[in-house]
Amino acid sequence: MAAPSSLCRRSFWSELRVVWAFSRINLLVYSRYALNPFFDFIWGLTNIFKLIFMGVMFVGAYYSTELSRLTGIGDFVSYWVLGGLMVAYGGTSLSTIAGSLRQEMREGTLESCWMAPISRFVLLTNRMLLNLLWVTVHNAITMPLVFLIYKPAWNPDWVSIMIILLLTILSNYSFGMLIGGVTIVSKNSTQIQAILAEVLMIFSAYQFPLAVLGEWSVLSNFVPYYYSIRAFRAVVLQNATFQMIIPDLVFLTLFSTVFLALSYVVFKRLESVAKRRGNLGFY
Amino acid sequence: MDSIEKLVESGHVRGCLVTKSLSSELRALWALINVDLIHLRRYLLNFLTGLLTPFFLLLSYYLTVMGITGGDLTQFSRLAGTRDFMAYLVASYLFVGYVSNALWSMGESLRGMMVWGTFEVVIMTPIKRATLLIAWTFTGFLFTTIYTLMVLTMAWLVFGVSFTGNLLLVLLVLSLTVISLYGFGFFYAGFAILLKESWKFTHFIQNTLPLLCGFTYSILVLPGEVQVFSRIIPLTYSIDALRHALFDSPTLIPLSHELLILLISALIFPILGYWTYLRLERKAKREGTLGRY
Repeated sequence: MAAPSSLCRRSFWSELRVVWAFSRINLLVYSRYALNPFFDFIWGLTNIFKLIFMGVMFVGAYYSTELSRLTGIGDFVSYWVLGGLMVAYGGTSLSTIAGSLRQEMREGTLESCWMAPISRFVLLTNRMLLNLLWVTVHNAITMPLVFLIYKPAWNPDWVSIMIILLLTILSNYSFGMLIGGVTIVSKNSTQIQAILAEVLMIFSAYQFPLAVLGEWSVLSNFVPYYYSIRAFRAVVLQNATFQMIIPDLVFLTLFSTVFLALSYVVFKRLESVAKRRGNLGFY
Repeated sequence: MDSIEKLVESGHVRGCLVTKSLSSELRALWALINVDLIHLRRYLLNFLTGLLTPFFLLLSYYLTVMGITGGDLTQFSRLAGTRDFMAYLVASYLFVGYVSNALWSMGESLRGMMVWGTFEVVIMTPIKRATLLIAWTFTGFLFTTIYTLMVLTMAWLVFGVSFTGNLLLVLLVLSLTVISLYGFGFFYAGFAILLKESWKFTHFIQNTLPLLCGFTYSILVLPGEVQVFSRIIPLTYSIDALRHALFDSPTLIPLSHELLILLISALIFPILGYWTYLRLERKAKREGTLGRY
């Protein structure tokens, strides 16, 4: 009698079971510490408010005439919050692979997982699904709060937003894969990851208008965040239609495919370096 | 066992950990610090890359401010007492660095040992608790100083930031703040033993304090109800006094009152914190959860 969806014979269902098993581990660890959800929620909220109060310190209101002159959007609260939303999703996609690899190496389970009959994609991505779900839950609580307090003029076109979100996650996944490869070789890559995230955020102009970057703004064309955030703001704050954001979506799709393929090649190279050195599971 | 002590007394074994002495404590201190240094060497690339992080943070802040003000700093200078917003940020950055180290280094080292499963062993060794606590904060202090020097150099080279003002007062304010926060650090270390997964709590406090105490802005921009909470946290007066010392900015209450609050905090918090730490450690020992994570 054959065992249904056994791990010995890989199938779509066996991979799904693996995703579920990993998600359960993470949920168990998370729920082990009862105050975690509360701390996480407050943490996200304080980040938003700190930025807003800093803005008020400089312009004395929730409106910046300079920002309006440069971007057509004077409401800096919306400008920052929407930019931050995209960065939250992209950041999760960027950091999860390296984070889970580091965790597995620290716990000494990476080599065993690597040898299990599970696809590499599932191993690298499983934690991301739960993290993305958590970011969504978090945003579902904080965004209505921001909306209630600041009453911004948002006009969400949900279909466009979902497409932008999906492409943002996919395009940043390639950077995540790259950092994952570096993590396998260098073991601790938290600072490298932090710097990459900072550089991507600066050139995405998520907190300021692109114009202040001057000549350097040309580099933004190579950063997927830039297209995501621009399209997202256009849809929510400037009533842009789906047709109007198609050029941004095309660039995001290119990043999601070409960059991903390139990153996968680099990842495999770095993985074989670690295998040759025999330190795949070391930390 | 007495034969070992005889060997020590006879001078055949020097500075042995079995009999506590100044040299044995110093050896233990060096061994504990060396663990962190080995860790640093092991992940050298990570450490070196981290030295660049301040540059990107400063750059991001600069661009954000320019993006919303276009260089018009009238509102800012009215509240801050200076037009040099980069110096204002760098002062906050330095403050946050030492504050964070005082607050978290002990608890985080302790949590790290719980994760690795070495905490129970370390706590049972014949080392004075004070030596352990110093070791847990020393490397953090060293790294903070290295990062601080990086921030100052980058701020000076790239953004032309330089500090004038009453540097003696700056040192006084920083010293009083750090001493009082070490008290909270003791408390947090005890809390880490009790709660285990304490880094979320760290993040929570690390984000709430800057929000309430106005690390990157004056608390006068906060809504009135929130300001009430801000004004009962001593740290609010630390950063306020520090800015006054550096930029001659108007203080929330008379400077002498702010210094008095800081002095009282520096006297009370370390004693209270250390007492709490010992109580919580004893509680964990009684419950047998010291080494658990």
